[in-house]
Amino acid sequence: MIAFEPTEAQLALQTRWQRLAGERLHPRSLEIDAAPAAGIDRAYLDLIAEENLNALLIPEMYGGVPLDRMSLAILFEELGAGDAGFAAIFAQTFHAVAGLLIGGTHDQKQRFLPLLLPPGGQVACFCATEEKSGSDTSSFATVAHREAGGFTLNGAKNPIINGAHGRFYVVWASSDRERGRAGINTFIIPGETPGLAFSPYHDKPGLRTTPTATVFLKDVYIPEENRIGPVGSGYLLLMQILDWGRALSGALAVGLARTAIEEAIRFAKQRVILKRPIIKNQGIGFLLAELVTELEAARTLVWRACRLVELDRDHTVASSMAKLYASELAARATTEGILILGQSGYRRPSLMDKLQRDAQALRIAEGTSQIQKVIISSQL
Amino acid sequence: MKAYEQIGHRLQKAREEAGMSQEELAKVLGYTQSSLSNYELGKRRLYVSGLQRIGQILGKPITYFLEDAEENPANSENLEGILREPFLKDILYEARELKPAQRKSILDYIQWQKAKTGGAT
Repeated sequence: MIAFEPTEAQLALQTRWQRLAGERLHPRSLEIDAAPAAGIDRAYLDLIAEENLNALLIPEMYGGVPLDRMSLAILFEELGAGDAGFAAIFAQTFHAVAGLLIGGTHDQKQRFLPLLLPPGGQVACFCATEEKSGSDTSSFATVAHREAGGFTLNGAKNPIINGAHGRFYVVWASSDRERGRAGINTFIIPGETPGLAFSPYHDKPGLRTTPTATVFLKDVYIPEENRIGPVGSGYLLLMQILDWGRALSGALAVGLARTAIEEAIRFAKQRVILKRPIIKNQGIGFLLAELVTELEAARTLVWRACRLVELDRDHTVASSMAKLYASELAARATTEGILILGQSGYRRPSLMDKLQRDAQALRIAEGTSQIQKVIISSQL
Repeated sequence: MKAYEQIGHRLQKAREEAGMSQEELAKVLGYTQSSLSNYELGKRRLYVSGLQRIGQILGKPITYFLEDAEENPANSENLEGILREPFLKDILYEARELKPAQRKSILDYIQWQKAKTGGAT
């Protein structure tokens, strides 16, 4: 039996980040959302530094104060509730760190993990996806040719969250394309490495507070000691990181859905038509009842998946279920939210409009809803 | 074949080549037989550390389990050609009567001979 009751420390973490999200993410996110595409907002980098946020991902021996999975789920829900875009920036660092934690040597962890700690707000980049491969993680066009003492990487990764901001980049490339998955390796590239270049930041409808760009690799030389994991283990490493990360993507989506539902409830209680609040109409009240029920269900799926990861038990399907259900709920809650708010939601700037655009991105990022169904059905 | 079905298929093949039953390998790994069966069917995912450990026990590098290509000897045309070579048909015929572990000993002996002589002459 898996227990889901948060501890006192987890509740304290939740309270702290509920306040921070309300004060520092939520208001600023609406301003960034309305501005042209750009890099990570200075206020966001300051928050990462001031709260030493990355330390929550890093083991003590490398200078961190790591959270367990359940606590991470609680944190990600609060970040997602404040601004899904900020949560996505942090999730990107999580994915890159996870690569090191799973496959990295002590030396690699010692060299790279402390780079994410203050001074300054730091982020890392997880560079798997490519323009033409998307969710097909077995056919990377980025290649790594073996050289004396290392590898030379060429190719492009797109879209990459955090773009040019990375202190380091964890990159997947094929060292032998004829060997398919067995030819994939993972590399760590420090941020200032010659040959790294970046496109302008992408303009996109949702997650506008999360900068994305194309990362170009032109003759980027990486020494052998920067290859992560055993030779040819890149595919397996990637699958493990994604299986870990999907549960947290689910947490992020729960946070976004919660904000949308709370906003819809607030509006439905205040908006009076024919002398009564619209929440008293069963068409609205029942809809909100369904949404809060689904929210609880989504959170339970997320917490269950995180506990399974924590216990090192099979969590592939549980993570995909959490991500699928929570991101679909986020999309539904925001669509219904706009209907409930009516013209108050269907305008810019408006919170519900931003939430709806962000929610669509959550259905795509880290494997579309269809991909989650492929994963779940493959294990039936 | 999907990625994890392929990994599972290669795992089963490596286990059988090593002359181990599911029960025997599961016991060495500390898994239940049903877990190992799910890995072999591709219904559960193995990650780097798990597959590395299995590879060490079965004498295979991690890449063995990830290769896309099927083994050439399974190709019936190749097999027919191989069986026409001196003694190979007889060796195979005799080996059919043996238990998997005994076949594995013979395979080990052949590989030892090849290593000693630097391959066929």
